[in-house]
Amino acid sequence: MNKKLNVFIGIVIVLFSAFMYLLTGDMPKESALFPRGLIILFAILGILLSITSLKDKKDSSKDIKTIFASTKEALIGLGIITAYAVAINFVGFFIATTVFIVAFMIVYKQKSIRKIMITAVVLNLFIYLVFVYQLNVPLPKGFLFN
Amino acid sequence: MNMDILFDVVQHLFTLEAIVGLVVGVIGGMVVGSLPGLSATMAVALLIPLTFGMSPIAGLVMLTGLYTSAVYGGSISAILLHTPGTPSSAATALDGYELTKQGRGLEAIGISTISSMIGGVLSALALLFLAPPLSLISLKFSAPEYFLIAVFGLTIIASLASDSTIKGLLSGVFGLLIGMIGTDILTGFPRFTFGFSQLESGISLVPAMIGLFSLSQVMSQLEKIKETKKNKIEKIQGKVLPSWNDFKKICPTVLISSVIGLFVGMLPGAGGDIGSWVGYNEAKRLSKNPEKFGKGCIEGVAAPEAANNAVTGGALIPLFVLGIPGSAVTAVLLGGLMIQGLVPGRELFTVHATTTYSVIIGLIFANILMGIIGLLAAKHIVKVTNISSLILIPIIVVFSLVGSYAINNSMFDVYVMIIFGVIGYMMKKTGFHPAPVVLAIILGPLAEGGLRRSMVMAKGNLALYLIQRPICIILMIMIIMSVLSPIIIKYKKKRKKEAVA
Repeated sequence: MNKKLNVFIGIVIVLFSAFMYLLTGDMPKESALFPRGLIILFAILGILLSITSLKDKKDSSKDIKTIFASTKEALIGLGIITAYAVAINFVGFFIATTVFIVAFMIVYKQKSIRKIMITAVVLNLFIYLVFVYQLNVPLPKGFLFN
Repeated sequence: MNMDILFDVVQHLFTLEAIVGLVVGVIGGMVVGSLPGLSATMAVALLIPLTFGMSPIAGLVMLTGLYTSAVYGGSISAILLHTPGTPSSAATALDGYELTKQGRGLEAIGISTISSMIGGVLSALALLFLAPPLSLISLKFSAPEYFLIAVFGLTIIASLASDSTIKGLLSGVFGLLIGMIGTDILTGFPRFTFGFSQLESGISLVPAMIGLFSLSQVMSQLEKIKETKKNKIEKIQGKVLPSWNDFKKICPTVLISSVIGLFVGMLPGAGGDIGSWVGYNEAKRLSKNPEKFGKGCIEGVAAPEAANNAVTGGALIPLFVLGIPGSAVTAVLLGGLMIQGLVPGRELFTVHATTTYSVIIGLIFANILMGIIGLLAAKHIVKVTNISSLILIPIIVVFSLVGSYAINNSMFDVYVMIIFGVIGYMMKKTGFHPAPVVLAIILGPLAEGGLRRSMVMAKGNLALYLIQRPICIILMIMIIMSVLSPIIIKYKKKRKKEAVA
C-alpha cells in the first residue's frame, strides 16, 4: 500500500476517534464504558498505523494516482445507484427500476436495445413475482402516485 | 438422533418447496460462484431476504446449498480462466490453470468436483454427529463464557487479516464500534443514533452486509467496466470424470484436506479462503513430489477444493452450537437463521430438532447433487462467465436494493446499504478487509453484553470470578495462544531468514 496514504488514514482515524469520544459525553457511565474503551483502542491502532507506516523502509507503494485511477468510474456508478434509490421514493419501485436499467445501460454504452428491454422486463417481472406476489413485500409506490 | 426424528426429517425434506429450494440453491450457487466478482458471501446475503416467505427448512436448505455450491463453483473459472470465482478458489487456480494450459482443463474440473463433493459431504456428516453433543456445552455457557468466546473469535479475525495485522485489527474495531450503535439494552440509553429513530435498534445487519460485500464489489467492477473482455470461452473438449487411478491418487489428499478444512471452518472467523490455502500448503508439504505443485498436478486441485468445501460444514458447527460464525458466509447465514426465528444453541437440537436435522441432511444431499450437476454441466456453466457485466451489474444492484428494503420495509435500510457499500469499497481500496467488520458487528454486542453481565455476576472482582470457571480458563488460554501465534510465526520466519543469510 502507499505510505502516505496509510499515515493519512491513521490521522483520520485519530480525529474520528476524538469526535466519537465527544459523542459519548452524554451517556451514562455504564453505557459509555465499552464504547470509550473501543474508541481509545481505535485511536491507538490509528497512531500505530501512522507510526509503522512512517518507519516502513520497503516502500513497495503504489502511486496514489494508480490506486484511485478508476475510482471516478465507480463513483459515477454510485451516483446513478443513489439517484435510483431516491427516485423510488418519488415514482415507485418499478418505474424507478426500469429507468435505472435503461439509464445504466446508456451510460455504459450497451448498444443492443433488445438486451436492455429484455433485462428490464425479466427483472421487474421476477421481482414482482417473488417479492410482491410470493413474499407479500409491499414495494414503494412513490409519492407521485399516492 | 433417533428414528422418530429421521422420519420427520424425511417428511419435511421431501416437500416440493424444500426440493426446489435445494436445487435452486445448488445450481444458483454454482453459477454465482463461477462468476468472478460474485462471492458466496454476496450471494447468500442477497438471497436471505428471499427466504423470508419460505418455510425455515426450505429457506435454510437453499442458503446452505448455495454456500457449498458457490464455494465449488469458484473452481470452475479458477481452473478454466485463471480467475478465481470466489476467494476460496484462489489456490485452485494455481495448478488448475496449468492443467487447462496442458489441455487437461476438464480433467481438473472433474477432480475439483469430486474433491469438493467429498469434502462437503464429510464436513456435513461431521456437523451431523459433532454438533448435537457439542451443543450440550452451550448449556454450560453463561455470560462470562460468551464474552470470552466472542473475544476469541475477534482475535482470530485480527490475526488472519491479509495486508497487515494492524489493518485487520482496525477493521475489527471499526466493526465493534458499528455494533455499538443503537439503544443500550442494559440502560435504555440510545448510543450514536444522531436522533434517527431507525437507528435505535442498531444498524440493520443484512443491509449492511449486502452493502459491504455486494455493492462494494459492484463498485470495484464498475472501475473495469469499460475494459474490453478477453478470454471468451469457446467449446471445451475432454472428459470430466476422473479415471479410477486418478481417483485413488487423490484419495489421501482429499481426506486429509477435508479434515483440515473442517477444523479451519470450526475456528470462528476463518473461512474458505484460509482453508484452501492451508489445505494446499499441507498437501504440498506432505507430498512425495512437492516440486510438481504449481505445474499442474491433480493433488494441487484436489487439496484446496476438498478443504474449502469442508470448511462449509465446519463453519456451521460453531454457528449452530453457539451462534458464533465460523466464517464470513456463516456470519451472513446467522442473519438467515434469526429471520426464521431460530436461535443458535441447545434449542436447535431439541425444540427445533426436526428443522435443524433437516437442514443438515439437506446439506449432505446438496453436496451430492452439486457433485452430480458439476460433473454433468460444468463445461456449460462456465459459459455463464461470458455474460457481460453490463447486464450483471444492474441485476445485482436491483437485487441488493430490493433485498435491503425487504427486511424491514424500510428505505432507510437501502441508504444504509449504500453507505456501507461506499465504506466497503474504500476499505478494499486502502488495504482493509471488509469481512472482519461483519464478524465484529455480530461478536461485539455479544462480547459487551457478556462482559457487563459477568461484571454483575462477579460482584466486583471479575478476574477472580473468571478463574473459577473451567471453561473460561480454557478460553483464556486459547485467546492468548491466538494472539501470540502470529507474532511467534513472524519471529520464527525472521530467524529462518537470518540463518540462511
